Amino acid sequence: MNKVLKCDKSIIANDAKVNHGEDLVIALEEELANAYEDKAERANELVVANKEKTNRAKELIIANKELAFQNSEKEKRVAELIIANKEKKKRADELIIANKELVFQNSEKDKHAKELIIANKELAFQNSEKEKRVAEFIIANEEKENRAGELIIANKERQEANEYLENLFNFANAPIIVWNNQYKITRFNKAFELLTGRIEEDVINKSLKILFPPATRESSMEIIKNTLEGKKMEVVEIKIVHIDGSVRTLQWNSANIMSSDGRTFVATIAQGHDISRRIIAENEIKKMNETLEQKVSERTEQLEAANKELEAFSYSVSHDLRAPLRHISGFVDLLNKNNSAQLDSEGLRFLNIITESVHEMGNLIDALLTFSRLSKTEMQRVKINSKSIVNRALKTFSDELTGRIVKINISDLPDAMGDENLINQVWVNLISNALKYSRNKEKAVIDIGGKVENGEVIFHIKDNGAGFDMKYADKLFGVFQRLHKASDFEGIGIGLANVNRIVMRHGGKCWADGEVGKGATFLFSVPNN
Amino acid sequence: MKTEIKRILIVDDNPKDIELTIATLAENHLANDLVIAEDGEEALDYLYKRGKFANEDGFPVVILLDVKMPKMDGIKVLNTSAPMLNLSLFL
Repeated sequence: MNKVLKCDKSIIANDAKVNHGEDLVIALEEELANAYEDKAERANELVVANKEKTNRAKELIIANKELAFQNSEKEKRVAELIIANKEKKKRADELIIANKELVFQNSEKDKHAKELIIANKELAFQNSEKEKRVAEFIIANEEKENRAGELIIANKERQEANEYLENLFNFANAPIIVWNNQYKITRFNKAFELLTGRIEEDVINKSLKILFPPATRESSMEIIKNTLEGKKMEVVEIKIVHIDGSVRTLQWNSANIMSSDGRTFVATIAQGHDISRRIIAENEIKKMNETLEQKVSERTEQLEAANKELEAFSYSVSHDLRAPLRHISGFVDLLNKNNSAQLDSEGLRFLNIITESVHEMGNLIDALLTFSRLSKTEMQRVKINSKSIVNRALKTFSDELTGRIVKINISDLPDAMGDENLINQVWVNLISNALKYSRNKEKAVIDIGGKVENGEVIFHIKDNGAGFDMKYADKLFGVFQRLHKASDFEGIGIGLANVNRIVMRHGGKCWADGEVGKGATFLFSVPNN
Repeated sequence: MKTEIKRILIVDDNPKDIELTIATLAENHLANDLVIAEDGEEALDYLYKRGKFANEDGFPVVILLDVKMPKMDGIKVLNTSAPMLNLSLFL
């Protein structure tokens, strides 16, 4: 703004100078013109005076001469005036030049003034921009004030959080410690005090080393230094010594605290978890395991002994139970041969019943022996080709099939893992049942198949025979359990018990589905691994 | 036709079995020269001619030997007497 004013002033001053120049020129010209007119009038007067002098010739010759002299003096003076006039003209020219110079300077100044005006406008523009900026600054300032308010709130919250953390730190159950980059303790919480028997004041600024028992001091420091190289939380086991000399084992997590540039390590915060009890417990478990293993081996020995005893018992049963039976049947035979003449028909009938019963008893003993052997015989699991094992089992029934119409449908039969001999017994038993209970049908239909499901193979055998009442389904697989009269279907009720025992030994299970008069379906599963 | 009598040694601890065995042998006309031993030790005594058989002589062509017997079972009897016997063994 000032510049503009100054500029205006200089323009006005300039104008004044120009005006002054012009005045000077006019005054000079007027002066010169007046001088000329005066001289012309004097010349005329001189001519008149001359004439009068001529008239007064004589009188005035002397005066004339004097006048001529005066005239020449005056001419000299005129010449001097002309010279002076010339001087003045020169001066006027100079003034004109000066004026022109001034005019030029004026126009220059005018130009400059214009530039100044542009500059002024520019400044005015900049000014308004600055004013805008100022307004923006004011808004920004307000925002900053708001932010400051928020920060004050945040600060309070942080303070609260700090207090919370402080309390958490101090009263946490876990021992927590902070050390600086010189491995000197800077914080030490209550749990740590309890753990070591030392108080915070005594350990602050002391080396971490004092916390470790002498035996593991250097190695522990080494572990800590190594752990610090990796920035991640690490889990390490470090022993801590109490001032009474007792040692506890702690599992440590530590995190490095870096300076705000994120490069310089300033401190480490570490939290311990007392695992001494766990270690004691682990040792106890180890001991218990050892004891257990010993017990297991003892038990195994006992079991083996028991097994041998069972084998002996089975043998015993087969021999000792059979002996009296053999005697009964032997003496009944002798009776029949030697004394039948003394017996009436009733007596002979009784002897027949005794013979039959002995035979039956013999079968039961055989069945029981077979059943008990099933749980004893060692299994040899192999991959079993189910199709061939079923066909093999079917072949053993060729005699039963003669004279009967039996349609046997075999669908998919996936291979399974198992003891070939035992699984063969399963199939023989199930096929035998299917054939037996369907023998009263004009046309027996037996479906055999299997499928893989949930890691096991499920086999089924379905017949259209006598079937059974589902409410007795749970009795099907029991030893000596029968759902049919002996007069309808012979048997001692051991077949399905054997099947069940074999399947269970394979880790599978048996179940059945049936309806009286409509047939039965028996299913069993065998794990596929 | 005169048949040479062959001696049979029956070793069994059960008298009923012995009786039934004898009955069966008699039925087949084989019960003419029988020697009974009631347990394994007696069987060996007979074979080695000692104890109550010290004054006996002769030798069986067949031994019917029960396996399960008290004190000394049939297998033990076989093992012990095998060196002096030139036997065909039927089980």
